[in-house]
Amino acid sequence: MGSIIKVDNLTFRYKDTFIFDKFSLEIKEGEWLSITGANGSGKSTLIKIITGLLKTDSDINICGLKLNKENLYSIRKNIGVIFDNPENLFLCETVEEDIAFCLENLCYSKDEMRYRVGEVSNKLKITNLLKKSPNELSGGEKAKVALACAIIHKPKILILDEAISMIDENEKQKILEILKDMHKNGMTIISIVHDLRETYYSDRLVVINDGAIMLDGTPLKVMEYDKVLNRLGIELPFEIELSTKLKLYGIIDNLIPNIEEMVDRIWQ
Amino acid sequence: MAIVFDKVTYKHDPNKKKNAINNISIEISNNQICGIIGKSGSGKTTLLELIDGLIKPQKGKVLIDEIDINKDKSIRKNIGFVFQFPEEQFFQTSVKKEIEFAIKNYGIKNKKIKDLLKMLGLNENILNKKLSSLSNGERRMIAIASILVYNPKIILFDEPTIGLDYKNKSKIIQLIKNLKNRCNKTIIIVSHDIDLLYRICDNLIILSEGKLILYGDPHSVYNEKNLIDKYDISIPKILEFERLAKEKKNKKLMHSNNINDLIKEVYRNV
Amino acid sequence: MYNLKFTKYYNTESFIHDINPLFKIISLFILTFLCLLSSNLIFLIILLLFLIFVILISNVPIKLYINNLKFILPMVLFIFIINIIFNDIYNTLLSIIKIILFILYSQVLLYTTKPNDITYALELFLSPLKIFNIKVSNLALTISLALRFIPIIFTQAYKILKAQISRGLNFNGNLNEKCDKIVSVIIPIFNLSLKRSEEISYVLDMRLYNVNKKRSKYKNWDITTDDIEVLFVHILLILLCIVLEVI
Repeated sequence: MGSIIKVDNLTFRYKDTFIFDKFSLEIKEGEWLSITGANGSGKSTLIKIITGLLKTDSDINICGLKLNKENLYSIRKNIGVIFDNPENLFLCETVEEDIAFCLENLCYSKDEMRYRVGEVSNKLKITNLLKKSPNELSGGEKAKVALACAIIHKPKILILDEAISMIDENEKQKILEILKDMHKNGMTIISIVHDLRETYYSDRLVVINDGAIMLDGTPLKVMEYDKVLNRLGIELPFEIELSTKLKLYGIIDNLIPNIEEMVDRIWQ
Repeated sequence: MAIVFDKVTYKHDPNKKKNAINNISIEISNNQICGIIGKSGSGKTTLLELIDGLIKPQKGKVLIDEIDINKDKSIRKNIGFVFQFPEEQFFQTSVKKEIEFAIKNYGIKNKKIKDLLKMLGLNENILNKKLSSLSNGERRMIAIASILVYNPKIILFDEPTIGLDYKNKSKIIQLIKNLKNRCNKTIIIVSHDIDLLYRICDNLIILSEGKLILYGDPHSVYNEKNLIDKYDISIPKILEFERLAKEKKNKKLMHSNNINDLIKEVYRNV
Repeated sequence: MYNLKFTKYYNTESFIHDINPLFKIISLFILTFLCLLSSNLIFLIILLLFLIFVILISNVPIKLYINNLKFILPMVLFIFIINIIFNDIYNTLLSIIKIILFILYSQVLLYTTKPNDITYALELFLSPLKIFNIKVSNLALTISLALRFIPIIFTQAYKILKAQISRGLNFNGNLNEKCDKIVSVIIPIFNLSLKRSEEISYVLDMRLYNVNKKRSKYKNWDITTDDIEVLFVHILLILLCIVLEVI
């Protein structure tokens, strides 16, 4: 699987500070990459640069196209984004119109749009929400609708910018299961997270600080560096903190991200 | 100052049937940290707004030290309310003017701003800075300072640690503990971080759809297994671990309040 | 605060509610046109009767319609007095009936049609203006976004107001002092709205919105036999007007 996003020596300034100075990152097709970092580390800025919402002259390649003014629209056709503020994600009166909004911009016919909206809402099990106003939805329902809006044009890359951090536990888990499914079917996923619990299903976790990559590896491997993470201001989930300490005492062999599994392993 | 809810019912929209707060009666005594837990939409923020008299219940009374706050709004100068994302309220350019807003409004003469900044771990010269030049953590602290500056006896926090990184979260938690222990304040916190509330609260209020489900000290509250299961209430991870150890492996661990104690207990029982 | 209604739409079911909004806009257009043209009292009275019929089948409480008339009472009185002075009772009567017709008929549109449906209809109705290089679909999107976000901004403003009140904000003092104090609500809302519009523009960009490109429409309102009947009635009214003018 080749690389689908390649950031080469990105340099980006905001006012007088360098947010990124010769930053490089390569994301492979079909990879689920989680990115985390303390506030101000540059994670949201990176997403805005990759999606062309912030301009840069640096060398960035997405889906084989160089990121510039001419290619921007074609590149964006391959990306679906869910931003973090659920209040500003919905533009239309009803859920189905919001989901179809992207296809309206691509000039799809009414029949094609109706078919696609039906397809996506069946897949995400939100058919019962189609006629509702976005204001009436719960946090988890809003996230599912936002997901529908982001994948309606069948992009290759899905980006979540702290999109599910404010949702109740149970609903958050359901969304992660849906994402896991999509990933299994070949979707490249980039998720910016604050809570490391959201990284358990991803292939790779990158920790950014002051515009540079500090740690890069599988989530559980990265979470072994508990001292580094603490110094960078990143909180470890309870299960990981507990596993780390139990591992130190030799009670278990490696980090276990699930409490039930941990209990099983300790008293086998 | 004690807070009493006497059969309070409140609706956001008088034309609709749904009650945001449904017949709640609670007595919150002086000088404690009380946490409010519940799913989104269960009425947590509404409860705080009722305490501060920002909204008026259709039925029942909200009493602060036995005075109905909706009849005597002057009590409000004894209540400080730190809203969710309090930095959104900023309207001044300088830090000093923003902090002074409340004391100007309440006509307070004795300003101890420098002591306050010290308690918040901020340098004195932050007063001369512009609000736009501050970091995320500093903005949150200044927002809190602008509430604490008029020395309210009751302090309400709505998701105080939201959007902050680990270091700043710890600062806020320490501040809350100091406010209770050193300044004798009554503190009410709404948070979705149940592990945090379990660690620092003296009492917990658990709401579901506007109704009071449980109220008491954290340990007793989470012991009510029937209600926890009935209302699908999430339990703190430490308790989940202890419960799983007991139910699946028949290991009755002595109750721990933090991870380090839990490790020692596990070590003892392996 | 939660009672603050931003639209006049009255949610109920009626024959009028179900009519295609484009046809309702066309109907208002035709009626206004006929109103302005005609100086035939008999025709205007027929229109008035037609209006009363429409109001009755709209299932919207008559109280609400009458409330609107209260507003024009001073204007009606003024016209009445002016025309008494110039001794032209016939034309006064005509003018008053025309005003009532226009105001009440536009109310029927507003009470029976959701704002987003009005926008949808206006977009179709005004689409011929494309010839003059007026971007009707952009205008329609702007209006839809405003309809969507203005209530949200008001809710946020209410939250900021509560927060400032909690910090002791009161509205005592003279006008100057009151203006100073309201700044504590206006500035945060202004800043937050700027931030919000930036976020909305990101969403528009990532959903592939392009100001210059043509867009298709998902929303569809079928034309039913009821709509054709309504059109037919209006054609009859036009013919009636012509006939009564000629006679």
